[in-house]
Amino acid sequence: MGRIYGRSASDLAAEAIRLAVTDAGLRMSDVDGLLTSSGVTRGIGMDLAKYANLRGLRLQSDINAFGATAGAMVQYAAMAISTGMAQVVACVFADVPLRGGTAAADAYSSTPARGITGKLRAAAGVSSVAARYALATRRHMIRFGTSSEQLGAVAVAARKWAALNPRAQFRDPITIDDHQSSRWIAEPLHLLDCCLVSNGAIAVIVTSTERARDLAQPLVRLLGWAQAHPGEQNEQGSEFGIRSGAAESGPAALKMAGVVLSEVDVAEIYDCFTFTTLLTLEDYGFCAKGEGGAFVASGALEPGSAIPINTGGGQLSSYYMWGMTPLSEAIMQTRGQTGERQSARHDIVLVSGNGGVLDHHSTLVLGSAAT
Amino acid sequence: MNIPPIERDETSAPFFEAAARQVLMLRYAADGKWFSPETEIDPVEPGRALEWRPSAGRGILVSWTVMWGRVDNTGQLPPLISIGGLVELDEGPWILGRIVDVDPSILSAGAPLRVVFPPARSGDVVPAFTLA
Repeated sequence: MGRIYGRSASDLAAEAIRLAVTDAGLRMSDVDGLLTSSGVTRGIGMDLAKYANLRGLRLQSDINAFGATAGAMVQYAAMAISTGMAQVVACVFADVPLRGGTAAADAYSSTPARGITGKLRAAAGVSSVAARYALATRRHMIRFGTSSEQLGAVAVAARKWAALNPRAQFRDPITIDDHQSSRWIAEPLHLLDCCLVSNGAIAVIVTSTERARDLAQPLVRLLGWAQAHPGEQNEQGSEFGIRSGAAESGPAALKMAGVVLSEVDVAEIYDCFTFTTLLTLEDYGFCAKGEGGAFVASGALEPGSAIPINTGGGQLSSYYMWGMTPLSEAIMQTRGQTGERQSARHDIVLVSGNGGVLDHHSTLVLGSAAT
Repeated sequence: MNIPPIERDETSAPFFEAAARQVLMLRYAADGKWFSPETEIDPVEPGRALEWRPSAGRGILVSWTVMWGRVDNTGQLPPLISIGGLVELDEGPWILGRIVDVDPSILSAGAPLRVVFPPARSGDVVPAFTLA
């Protein structure tokens, strides 16, 4: 994970599946379902089954809901298992955007301009995801007075958690001043408002609860899940930057799980940008709409706060594997396997996934063996 | 930062042909509702054809992002590269466009804007906006 060069996405994905299967106490021949999710390099797909010597699969698809994919894959795996269609489904993400000798920022630079939308974006200089997120962020700043320093608090807190995570790519502490003086990426977003870039792969194995109870690791149950794709139109009245799909998918997933927000012990929030964390926490209801700035600057995100949030350092400081970043940390927290950064209470763990520019949202509610 | 040449294709041709004539085209439905130029299917009645209709070219600033160049020393001021704006046209639709001929420090939400058509070095002319 991280600055690994010279390996293909397929190679990393196949290794991740093998490691996950072993971790579970299963064998590769037990796997009868495969869902693949590629990152920006589109490096894995349907031929991963052949590459990884997975045969006799009864479920296989390549899934793309951008940052909401990890959550979505696990949801589809659970639904397939609950119908008896498959028994052991591997959900894998892999990406190799970093190439030795090129800047990390180049990995996520503009895509070719297509259609009127693409061309207007290119002409306006807002083709990059960061520029589009910057427009969303400023809208929230205008409406609610959210400040860049408050966003800085998100970055500072993520780095503090990353210091406790041996797998994190960036572990040196940063200050609000460091955040403020980091170069502009797309104002109002600084460099330290943006997630890092990683090469790597993560695989998650999903099976039935009954089967999972007998396997090698502590049980991690899927208590609830949901998606939301609001389809904001480009017109007057749009909630772009004000409210995201988290406002729907969060409550829906909690309702399915039969729990309320105050029962959540840990929250792992997709944090491609500091603003994403802020908006998602608002939309989930951790604070009132518009008060996300004050909430994130209050110390609520720091180690030692009442509800641990982004305990591995998130995408901002640990590793960027799209939705697998918050999901992997959530699984480890629910199992009780996060060492120094372990939350004492880890029975109900919330996981968000955020795709496009606040376009696609997934929520999972995980439960420990105690639930 | 290089702006890639903007080139039309079939569906976008009316938009860019109009821009070459200094006209901002939007999509328009018979019931009087306007839509952004990217809209291809009438959201209210999917089977209905949308017309191309000229916008008055006036609107307000919804949001913006400023692209600054990199500097070698922290003491230097970064050079301004471009301002990307999200504009709400008076007809209702939102459109992305560069905000030109303005100091970004004076921009504010709701600032009245008017469309302009800066000459293109290559490719198509594209609508941009300046303070009205």
